[in-house]
Amino acid sequence: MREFQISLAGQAIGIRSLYDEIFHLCRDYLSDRAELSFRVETRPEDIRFEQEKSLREAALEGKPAFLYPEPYLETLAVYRKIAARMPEYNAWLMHGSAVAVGVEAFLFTAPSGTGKTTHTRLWLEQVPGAYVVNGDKPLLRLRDGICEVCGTPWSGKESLNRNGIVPLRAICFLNRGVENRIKEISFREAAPLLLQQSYRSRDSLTMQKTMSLIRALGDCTHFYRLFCNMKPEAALVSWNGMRNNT
Amino acid sequence: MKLRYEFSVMEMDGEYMAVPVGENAEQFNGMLRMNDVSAEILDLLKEDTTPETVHRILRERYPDSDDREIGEQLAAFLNQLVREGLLIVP
Repeated sequence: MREFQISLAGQAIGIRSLYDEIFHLCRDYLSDRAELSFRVETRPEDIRFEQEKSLREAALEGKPAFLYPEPYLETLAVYRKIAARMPEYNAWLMHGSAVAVGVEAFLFTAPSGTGKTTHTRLWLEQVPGAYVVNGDKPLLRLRDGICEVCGTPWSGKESLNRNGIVPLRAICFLNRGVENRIKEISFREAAPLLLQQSYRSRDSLTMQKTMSLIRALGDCTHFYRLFCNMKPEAALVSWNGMRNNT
Repeated sequence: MKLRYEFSVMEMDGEYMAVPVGENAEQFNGMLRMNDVSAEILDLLKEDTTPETVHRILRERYPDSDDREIGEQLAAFLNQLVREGLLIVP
């Protein structure tokens, strides 16, 4: 049993875990504030839920099913519990890779296997000063009409993340293409894609709050659709396409 | 007939989106995109009802609309829900 506190999206969160792995995962996000926003605690049934969910999804997608170590499954369970609470604090989990340049962040999102990781790597190689805020599951936060990307330690296989909060300049939906091209799209076109990539709470009120946050996002950022290949030019096309918009 | 799941619905830039919530929500990983009339139909399907009752309510709410058009829109939306396994039909 381990008990500690982390800070995510400006909120102090208490964690009581069964295994140590989650503590090590969160080592760059530890905090010691006097008051917690909320506390999460894992139980054996939460770990079983993650394993069963993984098996169900593998069966649905026709992929091989694996039994994962319980300490790893606990890290998933903890983030699920945190994600379920964050809409109360005007923040929510969106699947995607968030890359920052200077004081602005760009979120690349797409179904798994489209090439987010490759495009992120191209940005790191081609765009001076680019770094990853979170490579897989950042939190987005709305505050005073501004959307911000928040680092979290849950960041996919590459574990690319940084503990920081960066204003969001744009969200870019990736599609594979032969040629590299980017175009700005309307919120109406973006909305279903945003909803598809956001964490969905099973709780009706929390889901309603998440949807209202997504709707508010329409007023505070730009949306793009990028068709890209895996050549270095892809990063420059998306960077130049998004950086100059005001 | 009634909906298989509870839905959370929100209007976003003129289009209505609905995602399932509640105990069995993860069985349907998709979402519904609808106009305002279909969103009303979805709302009426929270409780056990019949196509005839829904049709009658819509005709009362839209007295100036063409009966046949309302019926066609209702049938198209109900068929979509059945195809996607979202409607429990006796």
